[in-house]
Amino acid sequence: MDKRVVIVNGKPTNFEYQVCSRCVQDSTVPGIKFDKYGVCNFCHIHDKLEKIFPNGEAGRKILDKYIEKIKKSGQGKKYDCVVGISGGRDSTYLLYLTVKEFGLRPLAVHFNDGFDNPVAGENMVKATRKLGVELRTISSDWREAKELKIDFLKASVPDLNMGTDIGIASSLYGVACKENLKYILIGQSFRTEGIKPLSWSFFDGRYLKSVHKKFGKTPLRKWKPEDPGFNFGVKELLYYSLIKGIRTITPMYYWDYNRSAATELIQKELDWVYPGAHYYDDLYHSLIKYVHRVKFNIDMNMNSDSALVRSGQMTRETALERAHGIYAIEDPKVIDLCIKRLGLTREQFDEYMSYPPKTFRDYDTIYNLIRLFKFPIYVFSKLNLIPRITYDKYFNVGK
Amino acid sequence: MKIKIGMAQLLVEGGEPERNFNRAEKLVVEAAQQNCDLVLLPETIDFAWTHPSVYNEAQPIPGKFSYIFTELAKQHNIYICVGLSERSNEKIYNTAILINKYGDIILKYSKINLLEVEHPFYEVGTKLEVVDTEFGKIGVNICADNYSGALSIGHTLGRMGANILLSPSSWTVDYCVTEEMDPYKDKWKKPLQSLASLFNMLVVSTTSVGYIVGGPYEGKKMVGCSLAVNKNGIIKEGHFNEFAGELVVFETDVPKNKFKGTQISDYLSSRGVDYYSKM
Repeated sequence: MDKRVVIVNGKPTNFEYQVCSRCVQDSTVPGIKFDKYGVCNFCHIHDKLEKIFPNGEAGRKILDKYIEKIKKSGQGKKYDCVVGISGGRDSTYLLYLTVKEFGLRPLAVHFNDGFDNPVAGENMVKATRKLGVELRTISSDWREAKELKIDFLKASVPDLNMGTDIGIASSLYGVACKENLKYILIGQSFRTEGIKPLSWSFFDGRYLKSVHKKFGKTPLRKWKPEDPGFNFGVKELLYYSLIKGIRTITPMYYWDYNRSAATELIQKELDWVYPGAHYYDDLYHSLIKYVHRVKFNIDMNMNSDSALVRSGQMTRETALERAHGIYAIEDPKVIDLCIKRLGLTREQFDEYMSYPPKTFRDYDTIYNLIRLFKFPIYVFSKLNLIPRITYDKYFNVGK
Repeated sequence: MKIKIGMAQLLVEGGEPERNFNRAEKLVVEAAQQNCDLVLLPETIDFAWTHPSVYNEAQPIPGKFSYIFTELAKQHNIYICVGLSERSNEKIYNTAILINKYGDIILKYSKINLLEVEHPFYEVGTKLEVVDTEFGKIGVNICADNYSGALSIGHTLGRMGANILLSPSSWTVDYCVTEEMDPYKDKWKKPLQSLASLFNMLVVSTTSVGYIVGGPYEGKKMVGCSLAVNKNGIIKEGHFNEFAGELVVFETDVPKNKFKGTQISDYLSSRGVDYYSKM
């Protein structure tokens, strides 16, 4: 028995330390369970998702049906759909596929909250120009965006980018609504990103509001369908999906998405430059990685590397070597930039770091309501009214 | 006489001089590679316009920041005009310098028409000048010096015989302005066009791009669309963008002034410009 103290979400536990025998996720991942072969529940969910979302020929057939629907919905309009882009690999590749492989006329939408990595910014400009795609940048009001980032530091939870995550979703739906478009394409793939435990990335507009109410000073601007700002909860989602009929599609779920091959292709075709790491299209991830590692013992890379191991895109040995290491983007200069940009001193930041670790469960969220509405969420996921992975995220790795 | 100019529409991050200068250097090198005679960078590219870090970190001119650009000019055999914050006698100015291709600072100008929100940051400049170059006389002013209500500044440079007016800028818009909109409408085109037309000048204004973090203009951003105009209209316009810099290059004839001194007054009167009619 491994006697090391297992720290989960920043708190010591009496769990026995174990590493999944198939991927590399270990006991530090909240909600992880191992079967008699030592395989974790995240691997089992991956296998289930593989069946629900086949790639290869079967996946292409499903995708073709979606493409047909999207084209039909775009008839008589300037665009067929919205594609969310960040300048990172996944979204750039998706934009390429959308134009070159699917033959769609997308409107590329980017959400800027003041921490864009300039390398990713240049990638977006190059990609949209080369593909002849219009770009729409939705900027946050920095006074709101900055305060939300500080709120979540003070809240002492791992969800440090909640404002940005909500902002991305709301801007995609807001633009789709404004342009009367019915489909939003996003570059997520469980095969390369994995599924995050709930307490590592709990996405909830009510959570954002409750944290802001407790720690913020200025009220957030009100929701408007075409200018939602940081308002994106159940009510807003229902409005966009049920009243406006907007659907989110994740084409990469059905595509044979190989990161290395995709990288090579977009470098060649779109002059894409690697921003330095996954998620490093946003400089704030430098600070997030640091806080996660030092304060919470969270290794998000272990989670996404595990996905790559499962889908045969990384060896287990490589992933094991990388697990719990200091990630390259934890650049002290960039961490200082983030702190300075928020208008904080190092002392203030260190004080927030010293607050006892918490999770979304310590705040008012929609979690209990979600558990009550298990069945409707299942149906909504099936119908693509919400991302297909939502159900599994809340009910199958729900810690 | 022709001149090839690069408008270096730079991404300026608030409070990050080193990162900003690194990007500026890339654009200067790119301009040199494209055989530009002159590269025009935006206003206060060290800390970004009205960023509070200017209080403690502004440098004198000449100083370590201006040195970066004098060396670049020399190394790449190119004229550089760049906006920097300037510490001078315990005061801070919003300054622009013109450097010749040998690396000499041949003109230094500090902004006169400061916006009210700038007053806590910068002192008002105290002189206007033009300088003789191989391309003709060049004058420099900065951003809001070209507001419709402050055109006397541009007029003075025109009267001093400027063939080319360079204006490093940080044009701002509200955060909610997006690509499909006309970001400034007539705010800049009209006054720049007026100066170019009245004085037969080439007027070039390069603005920065970026999201404003820190200072009184939080909630606004800079989206590019730099402008070069002559008496006939727009010669070149930069793209709308808020997160990626780019070099916008054009080549044009340097206009020649027709009039001097009181001839200008007569000419302006003939164009309906009468300074005293509203007094």
